[in-house]
Amino acid sequence: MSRVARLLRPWLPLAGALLLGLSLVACSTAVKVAEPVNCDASAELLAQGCAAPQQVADGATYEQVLQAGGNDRDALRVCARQAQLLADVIRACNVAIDSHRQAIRRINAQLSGTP
Amino acid sequence: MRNLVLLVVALLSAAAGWFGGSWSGRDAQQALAKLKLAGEQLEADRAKTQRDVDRQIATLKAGYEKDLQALVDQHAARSTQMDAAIAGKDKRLAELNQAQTDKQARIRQLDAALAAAKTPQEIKQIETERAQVQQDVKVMATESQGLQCQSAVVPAALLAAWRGGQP
Repeated sequence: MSRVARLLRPWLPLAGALLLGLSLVACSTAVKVAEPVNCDASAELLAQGCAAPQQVADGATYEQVLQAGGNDRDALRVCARQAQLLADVIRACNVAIDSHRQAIRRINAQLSGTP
Repeated sequence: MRNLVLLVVALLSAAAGWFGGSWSGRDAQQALAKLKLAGEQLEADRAKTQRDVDRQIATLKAGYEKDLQALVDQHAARSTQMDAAIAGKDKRLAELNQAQTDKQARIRQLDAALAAAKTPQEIKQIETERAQVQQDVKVMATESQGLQCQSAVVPAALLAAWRGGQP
């Protein structure tokens, strides 16, 4: 037994090198997992808010109140349009995420062999 | 001789191990290849979905920018119109006063004409015009009152109720 050991001993470094090489080759066969769909509503858009109503001080005249009211009406239209855009973007994102989920499920079904 | 046998046995064992290992790893290799293909397919699907949603969001944002510009323009136009209406208050009041005076004079003329009218047709014609002029005077008086009220201070209680506790 000790003779066999002595016989094999010089080959041990080579065997180790071979094993290491094989393991490195095995590691290089990597499977990439798809990233989730990125839905970019943009930070700029998300940071936008609705303007606060204009302040009307005591002693204001009727024309000043009317002017403030007119400006608030205009600001409300802008605010409503922003809200509509965000809702539309979220709706588009939901559709895209659902489509990606369906693709994942389809592929999982293929991998597991179920129709 | 013994060493040679041992060496042959060792080589045979190694060969058997190699073939055995290759055979048992074949399923794993096939599964890995299938998984890799599935990963590539999923990535292709994801890339298409990403392109679609990016394009859709870009379209939505372009529409928003267009609408926003229109709203900004409308605000500018409305503000200009409002400022002009406020600035032109005194001029409009003077126009209304003059017009009311003229209409009152016309009513007096019509009253005189009515007193002198002979035929029912003539009377009806004068009465119709008088009613129209009287209506015009009423409309002008309403506008005049509104214009005068424009620069009046809103009563504190009314303003507080309008603000609803907000500044």
